[in-house]
Amino acid sequence: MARDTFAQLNDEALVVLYANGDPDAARVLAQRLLPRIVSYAGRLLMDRTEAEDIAQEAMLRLWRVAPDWRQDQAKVSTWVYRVVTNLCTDRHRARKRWQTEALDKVAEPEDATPGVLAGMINADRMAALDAALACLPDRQREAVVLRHIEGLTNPQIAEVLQINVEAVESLTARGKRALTTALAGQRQTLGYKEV
Amino acid sequence: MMPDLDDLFATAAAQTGAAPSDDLVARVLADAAREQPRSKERPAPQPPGVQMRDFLAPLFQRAGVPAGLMAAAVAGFYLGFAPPAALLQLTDAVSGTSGLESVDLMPGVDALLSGDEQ
Repeated sequence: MARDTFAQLNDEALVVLYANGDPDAARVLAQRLLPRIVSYAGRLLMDRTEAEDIAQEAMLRLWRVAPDWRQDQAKVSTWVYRVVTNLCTDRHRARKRWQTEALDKVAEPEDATPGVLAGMINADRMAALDAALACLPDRQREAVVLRHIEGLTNPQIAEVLQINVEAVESLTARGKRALTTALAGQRQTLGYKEV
Repeated sequence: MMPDLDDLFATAAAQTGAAPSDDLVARVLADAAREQPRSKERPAPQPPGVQMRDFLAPLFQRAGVPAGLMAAAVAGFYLGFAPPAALLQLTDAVSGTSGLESVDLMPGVDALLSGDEQ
């Protein structure tokens, strides 16, 4: 099948093509899904290597479920987000070392060279956000990341987390309040002007 | 929501499309190749002559088929030269060479049904 045709197909059709033996469908699916999966898992785990392991495992599960994939099933992206969420939760529970690592990363200055100051501020901001996210309860963190970083809608998040939309709204609202509180004392450190 | 949080979310969202490492892509595609169901292999189409020959060859390799054909040919030859009487009546009725309007293909059955044969 031509590459242009692949670009027009949705993820669900690509899964069916993969299950039917098309060798290029997997490559296109990986190109589409991996950046989002790695980013999401990285945000939940705060570890790039672990995030890539999770991404590989999630994709492996997709390959295995492909022959039984039904078109009326959830969207592939939603299904993958759900798998990644569950895998991250499992890993999080197993290791129990999130918060200390996250806070350590924020506390350590990396480089004071003036030329990289802007990049440092940006990196520090992301590290501060990650650290604040790491302090949230799992469900709040997942809901906030899916809503405000991954850009999913509340109904999609409800499907990923397998809860209702009202619960999603509650989780994101509480999560944002907690983040605001956690970051309030770091405004100047992160380069924001006092209001 | 405080503006700073919006800013942080926007910065984080802008980083979500970062390309995965080549190593990860290679591992994922290797998994995909290993797990992919094999496509159903269809036999290559063959010329019609070859197909007919392949179909008939096993039949004629057995002795029964030529023997049956020979027996059918002998029976037809015999019926042509010395046909039974009932068959002659049928032939005449079909070809219109006799005045018969009906043909009794089983001459003895009436007597059998009426019990007069005994």
